[in-house]
Amino acid sequence: MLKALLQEIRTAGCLSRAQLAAKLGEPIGLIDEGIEQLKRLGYLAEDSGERCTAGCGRCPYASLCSQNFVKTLSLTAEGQRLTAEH
Amino acid sequence: MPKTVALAGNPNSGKTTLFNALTGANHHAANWPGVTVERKEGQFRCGSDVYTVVDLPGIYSLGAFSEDELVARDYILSGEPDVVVNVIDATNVERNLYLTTQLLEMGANVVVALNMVDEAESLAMSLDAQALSKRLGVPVVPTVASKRQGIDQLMAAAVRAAADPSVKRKLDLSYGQSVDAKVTQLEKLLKDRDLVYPPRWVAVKLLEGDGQVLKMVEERLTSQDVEELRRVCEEAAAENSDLQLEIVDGRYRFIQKVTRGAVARPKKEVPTLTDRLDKVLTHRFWGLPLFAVIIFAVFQLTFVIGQDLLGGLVGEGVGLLGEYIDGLLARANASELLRSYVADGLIGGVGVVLEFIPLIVILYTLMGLLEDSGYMARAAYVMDNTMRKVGLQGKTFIPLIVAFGCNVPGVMATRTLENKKDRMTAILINPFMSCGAKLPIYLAFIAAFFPKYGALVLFSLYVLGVLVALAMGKLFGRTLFKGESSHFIMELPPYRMPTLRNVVRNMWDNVSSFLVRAGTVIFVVVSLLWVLAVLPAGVEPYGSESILGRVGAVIAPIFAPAGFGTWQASVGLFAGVAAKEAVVATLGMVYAGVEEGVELVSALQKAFTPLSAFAFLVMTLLYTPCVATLATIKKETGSAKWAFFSAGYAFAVGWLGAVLVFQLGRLFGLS
Repeated sequence: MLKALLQEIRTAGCLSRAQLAAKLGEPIGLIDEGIEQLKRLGYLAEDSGERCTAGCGRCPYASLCSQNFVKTLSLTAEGQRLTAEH
Repeated sequence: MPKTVALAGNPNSGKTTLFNALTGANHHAANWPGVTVERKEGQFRCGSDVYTVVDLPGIYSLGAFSEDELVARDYILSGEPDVVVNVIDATNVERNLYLTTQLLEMGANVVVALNMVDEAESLAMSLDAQALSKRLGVPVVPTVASKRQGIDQLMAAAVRAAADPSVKRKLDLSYGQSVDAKVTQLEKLLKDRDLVYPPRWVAVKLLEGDGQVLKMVEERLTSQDVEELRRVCEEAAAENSDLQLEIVDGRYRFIQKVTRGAVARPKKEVPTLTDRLDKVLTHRFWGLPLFAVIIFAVFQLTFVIGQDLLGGLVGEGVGLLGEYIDGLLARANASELLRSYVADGLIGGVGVVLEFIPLIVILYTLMGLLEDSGYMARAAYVMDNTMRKVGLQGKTFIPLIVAFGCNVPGVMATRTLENKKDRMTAILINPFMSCGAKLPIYLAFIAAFFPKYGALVLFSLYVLGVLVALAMGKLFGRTLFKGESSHFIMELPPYRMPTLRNVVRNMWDNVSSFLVRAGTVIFVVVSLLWVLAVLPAGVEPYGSESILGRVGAVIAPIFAPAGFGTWQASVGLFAGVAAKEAVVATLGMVYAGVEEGVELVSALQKAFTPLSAFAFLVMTLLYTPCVATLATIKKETGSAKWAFFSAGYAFAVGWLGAVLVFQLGRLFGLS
C-alpha cells in the first residue's frame, strides 16, 4: 500500500489527499496513516521552510512571511529512488 | 488481586468515553512513572468481581516515537494487564487497525471494541464484526460507548479473555519473503533467552531499528549474542534498503486482507460542502477561468468600494494637512527652502503614496477573505496543469502568490521548494509578480488615464506579470536549470467562514508594512531626491538643470522608444529600484514642485498619453526588483551573481515589454 501510495504521488502530479484516496480506492483515514508512515520513514517530507535562519524577531518581513495558507508534501530523494526502482 | 483491563486506542476513538462509562466516578488520575503522561485508573464491577481499568494514552502505533507510545507499549509488554481492550473508531477501521495489528504482533490478549458503530451506520457503512473477529482471531464487539450500547457484551468478552489467557493469539505476519527470512534468523538467535518479550516481536523490532528494544537486548544478552544480532540486522539493511517500509507495508497488507468484504463503504460517499465546492472551483477545465473571474471581481470591488465610495477622503485629508503645515511654517517665518521641502518633498511625495491607502485596505481585506476561506490554497492547485505545461509545478505558484504581497517573502517562500531547478526558477521569476508596493503606481496612472476601466487594467497587469513569469520559467527550464520537477501532494484545507479577526489581521499586516515603508524608505528616498532636485543653488528647483534633472536626462533616451523618454519618468523609475512606492512619490514630488498646487493626476495627464502610460505601467511591473528583493535573492541563492543577473534581465524584459506595448500600440493607431 505504501509503495502504491508513493508511486501515485510521483506519477499523478499535484494531488490532494482526497484524490489519492479515490484513486487508490482506500479510505482517506488509511491514506492519512500511510502518509504519516512515509513521512516517518523519510520517503516524504513536509515543506515547512525551516531552512530560514534569519530569526523572525529581526526580520522586517516577518508578518508577511507568515502567510502559510497551504501545506505540501514532497517526495524526498529516498522516495524518488524507491519509486524509480519500481 | 483484581484482574486488570487496559484500554488502548487511537486518539478520538472514544476510548476515554468508554473508560468513563465503565468506571463512572470511581477513578483517579496520576502520572506514569518518570514521565508527564497522565495515567487514569478506575474500578469496574462485573458480578461479584472487581476489575482494574487502566486508560492508556491515545496512540496510533506502538513504536518508540513518543512518550505516549513508549508508556503504552512498556505497560502492555510488562504483562500487568490481563486483557487489552482495543477501542477502534468504526468510521475509520482501516487506520485504527494498524495499532490492533501491532498489539497482536506483540502477543497481547486483545478484545476489540468496534466503537461508534452508530456513526458508521449514519455514513451508510456496513461492518461485519464476525468476519473481522474471525480474521483477526480475537473477539470483536460492536459498541456505542457514548450511549452505553454493547458495553456489557464487550466486558463479558474481556472477562472471558482475562480468565483464559491461553486463547490469546500470536499473530505471525508475513513481511515479504526476504524480510521473513531475516525475522526467522533473528528469532532463532533470540529463542530460549531471558527476554520476557516474544522473540518474534523483538526480532521485528530489531529490524525496524527500535533503539529501546536494542537497549533491552544489550542489557539481557551476552556481547557475543548482541554482535551476532547486529550482524544479521546490518546484513538485512544492506540487502534491502527499504526494510522498515517493507515491515510497515506487511502490516497494511494484513489490514487490507482483514477488512476486505468486512468493511464496506457506499460507493458514493456523501459529499461534504468542501467536496461540492471543490468539484466546481478546482475543476480541471473551469478551475483556472473561475480563479481569474474571482480575482477580477476582487479588483472590481476594490475600485467600487475603495475609489468610488472612499476615494478622495485620504487625498483631501493629505491636502488639508499640507495646507495646515504650510500655514504653520509661513506663520513661523520658515525659509522658502524648508516650505518647499515640506510641501513638495514630503506632502507631494510621501503624501501622494498615502492617498491610495483606502484602495489598498479594500484590496487586502478582500484577498484576506479569499485566503481565510481556504480558496487561495486552491490557486496553486488549479495552476498546476498550466505550470506543468511550462515545465514548472503548481507548488512553484505558492511563492508567487506570496509575492503578490511583497517580493521579499515571496523569494523567501521558495525555500519550500526542495528541488534546485524549481527553486532557482521560482526565485528569478518571483519579482514579476505585482507586489503591494507597485499598487500606488498602477492606481495613480489608472486614476489619470483609465478611471472607467480600473479593474480591467489592474487585472491585465497582474495577469501579464504571471504570463511573463511563466514564459521566463519555461525559458530557464530549457536553458539554465534543466531537470525534473519534484512530486508532491497538497493539503487543501476545508472551506470555512472567514473570521473578522484573521481578515483584519491579514489586511493590517500588509497595510502596516506599507505605512512603515512610506515613513522610512520612501521618506529617505524622497528627501535625498528633493536635495538633488533643488541643487545646484541658483537653478530652477525641479527643473531640468537641477542635478536630478540632469541625471534623468542622461537616462531618458533609453526610454524614448517606450514613449516616456522624459527625465521625470526616468528618475521615477531610478528611484523605484530603492523601493517601488518611490516611483509615485518621486513623480509626485517633481511634478508638485513645478507648479504650486498641481495634482499628480493632472500632471501625469500632461506628461503621458494613455498608450505611453500603459507602457510605463508594464515597465514598472517587470523591470529591476527593489534592492530589498535583490538582497534577498543574493542571500537565498548564496551568490551576488544571481542578484545582478535578476536586476539585469528583469530590466531588459521590462524595457522590451514597454517598447513592444508602445510600438505595437502606435502601429494599431493608439495614442
